Amino acid sequence: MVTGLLTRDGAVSGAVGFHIPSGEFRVFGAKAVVVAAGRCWNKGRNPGNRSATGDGLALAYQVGAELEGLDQARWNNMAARYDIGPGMNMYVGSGGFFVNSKGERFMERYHPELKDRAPLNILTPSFAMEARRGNAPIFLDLTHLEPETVLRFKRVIPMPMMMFERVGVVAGDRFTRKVEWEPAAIQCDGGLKVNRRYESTVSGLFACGDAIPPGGGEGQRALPGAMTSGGRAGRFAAEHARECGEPELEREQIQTLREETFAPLNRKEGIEPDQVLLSVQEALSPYDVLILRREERMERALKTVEEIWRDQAPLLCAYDPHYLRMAHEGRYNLREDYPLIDNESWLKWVTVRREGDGVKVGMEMLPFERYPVKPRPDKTLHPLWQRAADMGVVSIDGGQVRWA
Amino acid sequence: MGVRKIDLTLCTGCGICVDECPMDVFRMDDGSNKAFIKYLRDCQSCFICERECPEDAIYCLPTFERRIPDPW
Repeated sequence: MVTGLLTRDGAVSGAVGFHIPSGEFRVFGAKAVVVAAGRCWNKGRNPGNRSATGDGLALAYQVGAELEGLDQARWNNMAARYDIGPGMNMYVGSGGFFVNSKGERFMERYHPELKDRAPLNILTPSFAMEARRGNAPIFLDLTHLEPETVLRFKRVIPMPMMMFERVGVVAGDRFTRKVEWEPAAIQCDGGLKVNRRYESTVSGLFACGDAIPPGGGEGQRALPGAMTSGGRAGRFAAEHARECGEPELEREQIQTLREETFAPLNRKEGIEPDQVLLSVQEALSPYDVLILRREERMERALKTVEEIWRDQAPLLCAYDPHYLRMAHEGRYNLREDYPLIDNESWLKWVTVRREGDGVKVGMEMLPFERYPVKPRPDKTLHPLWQRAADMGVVSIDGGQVRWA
Repeated sequence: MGVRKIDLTLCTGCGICVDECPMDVFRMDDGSNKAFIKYLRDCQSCFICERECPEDAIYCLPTFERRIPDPW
């Protein structure tokens, strides 16, 4: 596991890390480094994604690389009480539907055309609105599906179906009961800001795949994009390396990174990483902080995170090198206090970089002149707020959402 | 968070689970030369260990071992 990047004269000169099972410290001199480990989830509900803790982005940030798009995030929705992964699109595409605690099919209120097949950026806030109206929890109902549909699921997505069978939700060719469903992991869409050669703002540091934002190249997150950006970043990194001399490593820098890496091992009586993770999740996970946002609630959550960082993080302990793996978190956005989709002011990339001990936040206009299809520079009410207003659930008063 | 047990009568100590687990959940016991579940709370229910075990010695359940806060 890589825990730090080495630099000399402002350029990356290698990386350090340790072998997890043995704890052996390793030093890698390099003329160029490609960050391919990215994606921040918050170790929430999403099987198979709990190792995506944003380590690569954190390492790059530490050496001054500019990050971009950390304000952007996406949801996924998952089974709430079972650790069972993908399949929702197939379930709802085959006739499954969501019901609230009253047994009502509610999605037709929020997206009359697509209903339960609405995209995640509509589906998840719709769940939250139902919760705000006192109609949580939400269930996915598949109990009415015909046996041939269930058998098709078993052929196409055998893993989640096998998991459902293990907990008795599926028996033979039928779903036996409704499944409680919740907004799951929060995927931060940010990454290293790179140019068209996939080079970051730090010389010799390249990035690809999950380590760069989707807007930073040609759609990097899916497998084809990851392979394409990985291949190109590798090529440009090799070209850079060919023009560089041998990397010079600073002994003092290596020693400092070594001490920082292993510091938690020296605090046997400190706070367990799980405790810090749970504290962060409790602060950020409530739907009225993360999905239906309002500034004062976000400020409160941020203050809590800052307190966790101040009070708990310095005391993090690790019993052995397994526990020296990092955690991260991500966000999403539907604002009660800013209900408009504001193309005039916010079609920008938000950038972040380290400045001393603080964070420097900046903004950058999107290069619309290069885009064949240009967005309209206007302000429109978010379609979900519009639907909620049409239903009489909310009113828009003075630019603010008021719940009925 | 789902690996439940390793059947030690079937485990041959090949170490595939140790090598394949993306969450570093398993270790080998030097004495018996069998795998054991060391970091259960980090299991992410990917079931890779169960699928990769050549002896079918590993059994998983898709249940949470670590509390994850609900959004409501």
